[in-house]
Amino acid sequence: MRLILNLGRYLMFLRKVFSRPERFSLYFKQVFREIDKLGVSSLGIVAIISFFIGMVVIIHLTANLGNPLIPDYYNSYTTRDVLVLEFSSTVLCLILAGKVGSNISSEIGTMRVTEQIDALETMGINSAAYLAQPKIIGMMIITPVLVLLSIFIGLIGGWFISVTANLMTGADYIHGIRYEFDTYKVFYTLVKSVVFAFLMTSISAYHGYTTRGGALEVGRSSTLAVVYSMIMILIANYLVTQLMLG
Amino acid sequence: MIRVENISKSFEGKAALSGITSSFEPARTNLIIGRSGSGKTVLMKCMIGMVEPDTGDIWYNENQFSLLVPEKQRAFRQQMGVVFQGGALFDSLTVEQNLKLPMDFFTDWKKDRKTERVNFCLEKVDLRGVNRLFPAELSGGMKKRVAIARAIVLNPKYLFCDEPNSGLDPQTAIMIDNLIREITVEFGITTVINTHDMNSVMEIGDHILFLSEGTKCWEGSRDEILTSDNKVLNDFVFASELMKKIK
Repeated sequence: MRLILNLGRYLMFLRKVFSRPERFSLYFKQVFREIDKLGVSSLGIVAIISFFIGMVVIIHLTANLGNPLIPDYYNSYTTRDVLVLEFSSTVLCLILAGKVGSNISSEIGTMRVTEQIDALETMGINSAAYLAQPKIIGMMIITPVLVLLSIFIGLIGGWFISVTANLMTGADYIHGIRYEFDTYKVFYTLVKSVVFAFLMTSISAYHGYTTRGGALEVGRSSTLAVVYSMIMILIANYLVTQLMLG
Repeated sequence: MIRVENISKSFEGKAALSGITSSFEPARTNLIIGRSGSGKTVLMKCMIGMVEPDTGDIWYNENQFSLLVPEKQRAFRQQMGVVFQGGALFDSLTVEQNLKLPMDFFTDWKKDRKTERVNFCLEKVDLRGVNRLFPAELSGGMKKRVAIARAIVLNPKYLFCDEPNSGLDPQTAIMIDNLIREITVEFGITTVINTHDMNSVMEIGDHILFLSEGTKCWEGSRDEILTSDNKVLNDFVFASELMKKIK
């Protein structure tokens, strides 16, 4: 019952968020600020995680699939598919849900408990739209870029460890990552990243916006925002995969 | 002029306001006083449309506020300035950006004109050279003054202040009170202030509405308050030894 109630409130929140902006130019500028604040600031963590995961995946594959009958380049081919199909979209977005989700929820939640949202409303500004819409749109624009970057850096990580640890030759690695390359898989992962970006930002904004109380409740909202974002990302991952690849 | 008629509001079956009727005139400082939990803030939130009353009407001159659809209510709020208890300044914006935000949304003014207006409003509240500071860099009194400056930046017809001098030292509190009064008279604003500070009552209380347990208990001016024989009001007003001696 409570789930349905929250779902209804979430949909009503989205309706408010996507109502017509009072002044389009202000929202437009705000989108770029959010891209910088939420997306560009995540570049470091995305690069580090992707590089190391790329290295670890190829080490695992070489260690566990090492077989004279399987060519070496199959390992880099599989690494590429792991990165493209799941890691750089789903796992990365789960990580971003933790970082960006808690950031959004605590920021909006603090604004709620310190009456800043009330102040916006009393000025005649649609607070939900002003606070959440630029974040949602900004993340939907920047997340696919982060995903592409993650794939690229992950592949570089794989190449680096393959060559330096003599797992395979650089030429074999490059051959593997180019082997049977299907652009549809990249399209699929980009579609997923846009869906995940929408879910993590809107759910986090909703939890922040509906915070009531004080500092304790802001912390609780952040936790709930991250947990629900992650669950919804996993459910959406199944649904999109079933629709596009199933 | 603002008129509230028979306003009632309950939360989970508990009455916060019962049948409040009063009117607040322009160019006067109208005070809503009462103990904590007496319904002052709920009444103010009803007046600015943050809380929907269960019964009753709120009139802004000839406009019945409660009959306006939410979009119209939002547009109507551009005529209101609200000073919240904690100031409610936007942490991520500088003082100047805080003041410019309503202008960015609701005016087509050029940048220079907006800056001019910001400086004018900051001068009015006796603040200079703080344009580039963030709220975290301001003292409590300065935050309140910036909040007042932001509230008047669009020349509102109605100004609402929720305990504007709470948490301030007596001198700053009186300065804030006088500032609000000056602005009210100078611009002919209908000002409504929530307070339980007796200094404010005696200093600027042109019209006072006293609430007790969600009901209207007494209404009058600051001169009448000292001679009233209303027991509940007297218990509130003369709670301190100092006030008893003054009486």
